Amino acid sequence: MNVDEIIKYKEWVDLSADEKQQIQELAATETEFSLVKRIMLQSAIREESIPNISQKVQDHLKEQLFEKKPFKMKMGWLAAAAVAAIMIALFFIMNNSPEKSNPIVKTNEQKAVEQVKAPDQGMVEPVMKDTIMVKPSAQEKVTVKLKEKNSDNNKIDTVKINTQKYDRYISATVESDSSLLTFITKVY
Amino acid sequence: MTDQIDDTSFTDEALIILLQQGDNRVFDEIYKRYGQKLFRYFFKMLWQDKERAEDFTQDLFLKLIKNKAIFDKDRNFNTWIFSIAHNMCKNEYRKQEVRLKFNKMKEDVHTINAHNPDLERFTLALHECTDALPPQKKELYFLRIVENYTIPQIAVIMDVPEGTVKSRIFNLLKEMREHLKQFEGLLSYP
Repeated sequence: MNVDEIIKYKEWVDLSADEKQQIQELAATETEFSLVKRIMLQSAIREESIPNISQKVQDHLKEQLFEKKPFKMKMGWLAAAAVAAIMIALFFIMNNSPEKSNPIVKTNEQKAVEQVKAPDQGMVEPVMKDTIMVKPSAQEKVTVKLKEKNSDNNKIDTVKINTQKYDRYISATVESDSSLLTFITKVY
Repeated sequence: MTDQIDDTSFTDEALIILLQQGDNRVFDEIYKRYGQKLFRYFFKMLWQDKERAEDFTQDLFLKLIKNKAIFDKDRNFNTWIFSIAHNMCKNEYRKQEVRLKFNKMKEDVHTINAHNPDLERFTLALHECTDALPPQKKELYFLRIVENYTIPQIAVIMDVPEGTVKSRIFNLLKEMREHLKQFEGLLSYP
């Protein structure tokens, strides 16, 4: 037994020599023993000055436990549904834009725009200035070398060879397709 | 929705496991066992401030509700929940360096009773003595002498070795005896 248990649960007269030795420093005499015992027993009596906890604490906790969680879950599902609805709506709006229904734009609009060369860049030979080159793919590059007035014949040959080689990839000239001309005019 | 569970024979740990599994009906039983007990602890430890003690009790139960998995099934619930309460008080003491609130609360209900004036004076002096104890001793007094917790339980709650708890109890009683020495011989027991 610990010293406080000896004092709490035993009487002075019942103490053995060993127990008296154990509590010697704390209660050497019967009066000291009685005082410490009284301290312990009186302390164990519920203090009347301690009030009871308010009912509102339990009510609040039960509210948290039983009501708030389903509400949170419901809000979560609603938010997820709203996000999904917005994404679907955006998808349809993007797919039904006016540009998509324009027949001119249907054929590779972006690439055509990229390939248009400005005349002042010095890259376009007068004979071919109205030609629009369209790249077949990223790997296959169309090499078009334009003839300068004083350039040598090799360069002209290279242009011809390349033109023949990639003829199937080259789209029609602007003159032959009036709608393409309209589009380029619109772009500029 | 909130049918109360009838069986009060469940251990604390069994109740918590049921709560962890989603059976919210057991909450009332857990609160019945620990609500007032924890409130008394906080009230005693936190300057006898009722509102603060209620807030702390509520916060502690909220932790349990919102994070049910926080309790380790292998531990004793009683000591576990008081060790959390102990840490909450420690944090509060760190925040509140000035602790003067308890000084003015003694003028209220403690009047000398004509039936046993010595005992009433002794009770008043005892309350004053324990309220003036530093936090660590006050907690030890509450757990061991008021609530009768065992030494191993207190060791877990306060996170100190059992030998330290024993020596602290010894010193606490010695200090209280010195403080209340004037009552030696005045009180006949019982």
